[in-house]
Amino acid sequence: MAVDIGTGLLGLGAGLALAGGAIGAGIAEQQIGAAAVGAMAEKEELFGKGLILTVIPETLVIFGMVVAILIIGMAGP
Amino acid sequence: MIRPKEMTMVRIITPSRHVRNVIETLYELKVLHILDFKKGEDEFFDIGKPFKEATTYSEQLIALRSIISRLSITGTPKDLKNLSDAQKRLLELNKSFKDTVEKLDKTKSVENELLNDYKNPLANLGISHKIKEFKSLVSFLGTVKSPIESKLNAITTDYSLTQKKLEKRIAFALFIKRELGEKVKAILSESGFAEHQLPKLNRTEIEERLAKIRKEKIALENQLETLKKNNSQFLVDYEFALTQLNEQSEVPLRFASSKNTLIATGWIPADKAENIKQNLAKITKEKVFVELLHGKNPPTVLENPKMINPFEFLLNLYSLPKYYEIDPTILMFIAFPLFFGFMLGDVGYGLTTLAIIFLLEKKLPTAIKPLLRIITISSLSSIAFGFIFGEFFGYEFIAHPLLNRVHEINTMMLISVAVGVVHINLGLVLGLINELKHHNFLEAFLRKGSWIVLQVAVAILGFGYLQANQSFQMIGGILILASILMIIKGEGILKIVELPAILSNTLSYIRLYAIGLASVSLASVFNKMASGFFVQGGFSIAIGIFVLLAGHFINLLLGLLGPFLHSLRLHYVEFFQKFYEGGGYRYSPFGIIKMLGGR
Repeated sequence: MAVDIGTGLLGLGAGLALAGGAIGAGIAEQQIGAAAVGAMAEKEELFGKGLILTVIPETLVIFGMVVAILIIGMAGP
Repeated sequence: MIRPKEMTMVRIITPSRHVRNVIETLYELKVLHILDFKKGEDEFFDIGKPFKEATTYSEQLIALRSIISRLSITGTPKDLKNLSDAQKRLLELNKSFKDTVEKLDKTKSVENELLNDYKNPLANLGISHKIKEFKSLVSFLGTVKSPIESKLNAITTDYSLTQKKLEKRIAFALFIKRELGEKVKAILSESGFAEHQLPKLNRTEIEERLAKIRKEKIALENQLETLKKNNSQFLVDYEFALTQLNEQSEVPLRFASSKNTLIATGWIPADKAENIKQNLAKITKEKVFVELLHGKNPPTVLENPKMINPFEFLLNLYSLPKYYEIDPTILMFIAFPLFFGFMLGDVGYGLTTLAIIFLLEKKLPTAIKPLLRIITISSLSSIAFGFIFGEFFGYEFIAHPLLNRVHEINTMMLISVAVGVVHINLGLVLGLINELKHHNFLEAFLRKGSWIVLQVAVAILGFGYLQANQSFQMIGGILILASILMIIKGEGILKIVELPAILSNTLSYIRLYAIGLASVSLASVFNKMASGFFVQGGFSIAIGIFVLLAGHFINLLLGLLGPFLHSLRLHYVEFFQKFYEGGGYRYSPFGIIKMLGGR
């Protein structure tokens, strides 16, 4: 399936948007996760809180995805 | 249901001679959450004295628990009839137990010593350990990395060297004239010398002794095993009985007492107050005074119907609500499965999860029962959503479903955001209700209502731009300014930083759609891969089946974990932040005990 270069760039842009969000979330979660596991080793009851804190940056991926969908929307149906 | 159970503070004043009766009654009723009296809290009262049996009980408990933990005994306690017999039995048991354990520890340390000797690299050189020091000779014992003979020959031939090649090193014993000692030391350090002592025994002797000591060890271990087998039920029963007695006999330490009276203070459920009063009056012939008080910061008991109960588990994972707070369990009961189902939304996955839970339910520990209930309810919801989306393992089995997740992207995103707006504002309204407990309506509205006004204002402004209607834009702008001022007034200037949070909180609900989309895309990818294999026929069909099974298994795992965590997160982060404080403490009434062996 051949697409014109404009559509290709839109696709690339959508991919970048999602990738950026995912990488950002990954970097944030890496540090939070490490700290959370450390806290859990000291006090096991912190599992719930640790889990929640760890998934907080995941919103970034969602934003990335929203932007990606909007960009794809520009390409038309 | 929407609030924790009503509690009342109670003060029980008893004359000394009735103390025992009162404590026994309270213990049986299991309702009083004791507030500890602290020494020096009052100038006229001191902490009470424990009953005189307390020392014997705790001594016996220490012995009992050391046996239980050493033998790792578990069991369900039964009632023990004859306590004085039990005491005698425990004494005897403890004596033989201690004896055996002592012997066992000794054999173990001897075994370790022998093993060390056995590993000694000098063990088989055939040199007696009795060789100590000579006047004219110096001895070097140990191992080296590389051979030393040639290097020694360079300085003298007058020495005695016994050596033996080991795996990586060479064990040796060298005797040489004392005046050459320094030179030899230099040679040795070049060759990687490690000094060792000569073993006291040779290998065969060590092996003989090891065999003997191991036999002894096994015999002693068997003795302990029999001891465990014959007595574990007794030990569990007696621990149960003693723990109860001990707790009763020591509880006066937590009460205030004067010369002739004992005062117990604590929290009880409000509906049990009359019952306690009557019971205590009866047992002491009206000699006890029970007073109901208004205290601060009562413990929390969540009170929910059995159906909703399991969701308290999710609340406990976060933090128990304070007594004055709204108990959001029922709201979680409604929203959590809906979120979960909206994300997973597949008839096939829902049915599989139900089947797995049905099969595993009996085998899993009771502690995670609530979790299983939550997943069961959520699976039902995801089956329901599966029919709405028309999906069965990612395959669209309804030609024109109510909603098509893959194609109706905008509708799905709008629904998600709408759910977010409703959920967040529900949280803000609950927050307003919570604030009303401490503040008047104006203040509460400034704190929580202002956020609702902000959202309405943004909506009006957005509508104004869409319709290019200037008056709507004006109203929206003014309302936004007003709501920001209200927020500053209500929650302080620092909250300005959090203004964009309300938007990102709302957008965060798009995950409801995003995770579902990921799950359904992955499922249909596996379906396509498998159908590719099926078309080829022959052996490829087997590969296709494997791809289907493995793929859907992985996707089901992800599909359970993702929606669960994200549904939870939407509650904890977006929803709870609007109203929930938490930090309540658990109501744990006197009379409910924790045990080592029991359970």
